[in-house]
Amino acid sequence: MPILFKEVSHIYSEGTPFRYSALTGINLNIKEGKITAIIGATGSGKSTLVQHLNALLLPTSGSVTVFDRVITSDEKPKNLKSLRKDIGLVFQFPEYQLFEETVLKDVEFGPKNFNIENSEEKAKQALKMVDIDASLFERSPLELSGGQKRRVAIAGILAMDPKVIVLDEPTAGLDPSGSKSMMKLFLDLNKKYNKTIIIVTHDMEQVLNYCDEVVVMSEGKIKYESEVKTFFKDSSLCKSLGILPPNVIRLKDELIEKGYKIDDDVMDIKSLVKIISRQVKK
Amino acid sequence: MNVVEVENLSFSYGDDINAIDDISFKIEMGAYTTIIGHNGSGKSTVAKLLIGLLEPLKGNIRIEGVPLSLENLDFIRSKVGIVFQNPDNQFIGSTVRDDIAFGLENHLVPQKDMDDIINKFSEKVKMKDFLNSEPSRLSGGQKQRVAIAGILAIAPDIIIFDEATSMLDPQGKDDIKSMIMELHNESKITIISITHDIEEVVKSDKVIVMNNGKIVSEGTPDKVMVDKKLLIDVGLDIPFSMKIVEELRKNKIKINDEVTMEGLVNKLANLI
Repeated sequence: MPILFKEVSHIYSEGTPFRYSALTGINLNIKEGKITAIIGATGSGKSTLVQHLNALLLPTSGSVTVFDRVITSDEKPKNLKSLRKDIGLVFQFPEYQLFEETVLKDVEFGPKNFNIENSEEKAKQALKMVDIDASLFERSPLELSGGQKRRVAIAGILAMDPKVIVLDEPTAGLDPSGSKSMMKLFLDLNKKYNKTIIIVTHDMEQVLNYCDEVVVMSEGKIKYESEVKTFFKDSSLCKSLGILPPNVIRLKDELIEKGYKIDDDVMDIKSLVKIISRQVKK
Repeated sequence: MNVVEVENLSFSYGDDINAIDDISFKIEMGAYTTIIGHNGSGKSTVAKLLIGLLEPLKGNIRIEGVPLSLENLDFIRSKVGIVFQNPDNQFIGSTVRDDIAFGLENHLVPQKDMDDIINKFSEKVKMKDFLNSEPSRLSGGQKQRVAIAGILAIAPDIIIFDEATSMLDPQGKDDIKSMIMELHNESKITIISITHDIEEVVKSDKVIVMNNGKIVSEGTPDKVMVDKKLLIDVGLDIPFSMKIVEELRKNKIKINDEVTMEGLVNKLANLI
């Protein structure tokens, strides 16, 4: 069992007027080799949850097990470094953390820090994976566009060859084609390089089109978890959780209301349109 | 009346390329305008030029008829508010309450009115329970809500949203969007929204498409957002309902262009 949360609670600023309970009684099992989406309203605890994965935050109570390492309130795992190498965490707006003189140096910083051999080679491979051209390697990261900067920041994590990549709203602020190619990149990392991917996202189209599993959070608790296909089958479930279903599901629902007959498991544009086409008056 | 007039505006970040290359546009009072374009197309630069954070290389900007210049900057900033994409860039106060109050103090709002205003707008963005929280402790989406409340509180005539809801969940985004729409209808606020959200674009009065510092298309969404070639060429996407329309046509169904989901559902309801 690679990643397991057991009765995890997290309270920020305990003992101060700012005390805030961000997670309560979390039990969660994240599957290896899958793409898992973590969704929920702003402030529901998604970012707090994922920061437990590499012991950046310690649980106030309960335990997090990550590949045989146990993280509890008073115990950081003994080999924290190897944990952080295994779990690559990409924050919101990671491009704000770029700091080196050149793109290559920035990506190399991680592997160097972790004493990984051939750090330059590793950095180059990682940049290739995120589709950053070699002509940009010696440029200052600050000269790049927003989307490019974010790719460089993600390369910095990939260069450490993590088993699990955790991305906190990786496409926020990217244009549609940038978002699409970013999501394709994660799909690639999952399928080709066998990385376990955890994505915090608000975009239901991404959940539907790219993810295998979904975890729904609300007010610091897990409200629901299942396979993505099961989750979107019955949109009343989405609605009861306060989640706006993806476009194709919404359209399906509206058309059913207008008299079209469409099966539960129709979840993509092509099949939906085929079914509509058969039912319209020619 | 045009509250924003931009004439032959150019700007460069100091290299050979013009980040903004000779653009002109007008925005009518009370209009809801969206600006779209890929990352790096110049959208945010336009926003910064409009509030005088950057100085144009060439061209003129007039806000409510007043030319934007160093002497008029205070006037311009009292009329135009902006909410940035990353709210960390604009937090000042040590609590949410202080942060909203900071803007009010700057705009010389009397102390006795402040509490009411802060309560009203923190409630509108659903952050009233967090007035005593530290902004830095909030989640990304909560920070965006606070930043929006901070601007709404000072009641500018024109508000620029620069990807200001990018980190909100769809429901939260919808709440904020309908709140903005409501304000827009109630008080004739002029809204300029820089966005990647195609579904927001189709509901706006007018859309401006930017590419490489130039305006490549401009008009009502039902005209602009059906031009697939243009949109794909500049790294954007067509609305969901247009994807369905295209697919229907591939299946030999005759149907007119349609940019909104509601419109599409109505069209299809008449076909069954």
